[in-house]
Amino acid sequence: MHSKKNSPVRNFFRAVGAIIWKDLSTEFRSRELLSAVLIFALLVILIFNFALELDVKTRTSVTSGVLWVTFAFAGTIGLNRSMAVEKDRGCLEGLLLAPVDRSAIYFGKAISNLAFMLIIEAIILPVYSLLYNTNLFNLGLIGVILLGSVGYVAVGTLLASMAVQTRTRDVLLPILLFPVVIPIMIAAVKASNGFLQGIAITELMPYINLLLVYDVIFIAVAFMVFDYVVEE
Amino acid sequence: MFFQEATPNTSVYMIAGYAIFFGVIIIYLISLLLRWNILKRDIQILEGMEK
Amino acid sequence: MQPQPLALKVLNIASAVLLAIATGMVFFYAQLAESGPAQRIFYFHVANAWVGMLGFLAAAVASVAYLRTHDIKWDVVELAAIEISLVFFFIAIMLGSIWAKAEWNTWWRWEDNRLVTAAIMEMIYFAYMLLRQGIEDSDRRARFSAVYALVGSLSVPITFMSIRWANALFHPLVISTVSDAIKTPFLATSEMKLTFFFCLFTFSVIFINLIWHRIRLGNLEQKVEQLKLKVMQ
Repeated sequence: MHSKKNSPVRNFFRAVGAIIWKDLSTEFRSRELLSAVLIFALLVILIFNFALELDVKTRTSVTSGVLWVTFAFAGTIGLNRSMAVEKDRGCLEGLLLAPVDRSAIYFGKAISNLAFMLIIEAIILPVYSLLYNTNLFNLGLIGVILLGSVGYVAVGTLLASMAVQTRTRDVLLPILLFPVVIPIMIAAVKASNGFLQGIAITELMPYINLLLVYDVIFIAVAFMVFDYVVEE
Repeated sequence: MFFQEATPNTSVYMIAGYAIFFGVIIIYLISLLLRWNILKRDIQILEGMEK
Repeated sequence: MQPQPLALKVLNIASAVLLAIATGMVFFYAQLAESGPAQRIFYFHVANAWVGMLGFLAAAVASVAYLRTHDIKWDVVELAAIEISLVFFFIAIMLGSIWAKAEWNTWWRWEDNRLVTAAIMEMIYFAYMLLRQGIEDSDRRARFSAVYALVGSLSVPITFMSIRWANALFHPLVISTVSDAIKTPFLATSEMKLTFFFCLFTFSVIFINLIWHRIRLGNLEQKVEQLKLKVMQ
């Protein structure tokens, strides 16, 4: 009888799950990363308030931009810390010694990074809604945030893995990431704005398609290429 | 009716554009040359140290 | 290091001669456009952007080749291609900006997706250079560079399309492809069209010439690194 307990596929998912669990449980215990990124995000919103002089009318047109800039910067901090922790505590070497496909490490990190980013976004949305008296609980908006975050994290995890192994580290990640992630910013802001303004979904399809295509392409590429980034 | 509007005199821009082109190309070629010479000198030094 | 092969020396002369002819054609053969002498910038602006594109494509191919073969010579080609693309896109952007000022009285046009995409490519190239500077180990540097070059190469066409779609509603595109360029009023007569294509040809030759030189330089860099490692043992 052929037992499937140790098949490569099960091991793969086990490894991915283990990494996600490790990241999320360490974070819930210390909550240091979460609180830091959260405060940072709130400060960004605060700065925008003074920097842009948002009267009620301008606010509606500028909300999606402000949100996505906040997400982009908060995301960078989260990514940096997430990978730095691996490197500093030597977890990376440990993970690499395990007889698991490298891509399991990629998916594990990417999913925990995604979870982290979504948690941050889930907190920022109500806070922004409250501060600016706008209703951001829009299903379309949430969908766009999901799609955009997936793409952002897919590329971000790959590039953060590289950046953390260089001399310049933290500073390098935004420099590497932002130019490459511009299609997400363009499409996400346009689509978010569309949903908030109540524009028909059919008109927003090009942007949603763009996000989907970007996500698929870069998840595939990152997954194929991750090996080269963690070889020793 | 017999006189057409003269084409706008944008020569300044044209000159600036071509000056930039030739300027940057020359700077780049010089940089290639300088780097080449520095590397050749490094090789001489290193080969000397090898012996 | 070996002296320049004959083919390269011939290419040097060919490039110089072609560039001289092209410059002559731009100033004396092509007629003055209705919008004034600044239109002449157009010929070199597009030709430089063309070289930038060639470099970009070469880098994309080299990055995949390196990841598949792990042969360091592809890393040398990739770096050479990106450096040349960086220089030529820089010139193209400068010229594009000056021409925009002359033609439409604005130093920058956000709605011009080629101009904006070129600027984004420059940022990716600078990021690439910074990445390389931050890594000492040559094998890791080559691997990471190839990965980033690949990721960057894939993002560029997507960025190009997204800006185009995002702007399509508000700003009708002026020129988006070379074929559009030929049909525009910027190249009204056959002499102007000929000059345009001759410039493209000239700069293609210049591209091959320069990348050959830069690859030779890269090989010299490799040699110095290897010697340094040997001497330090």
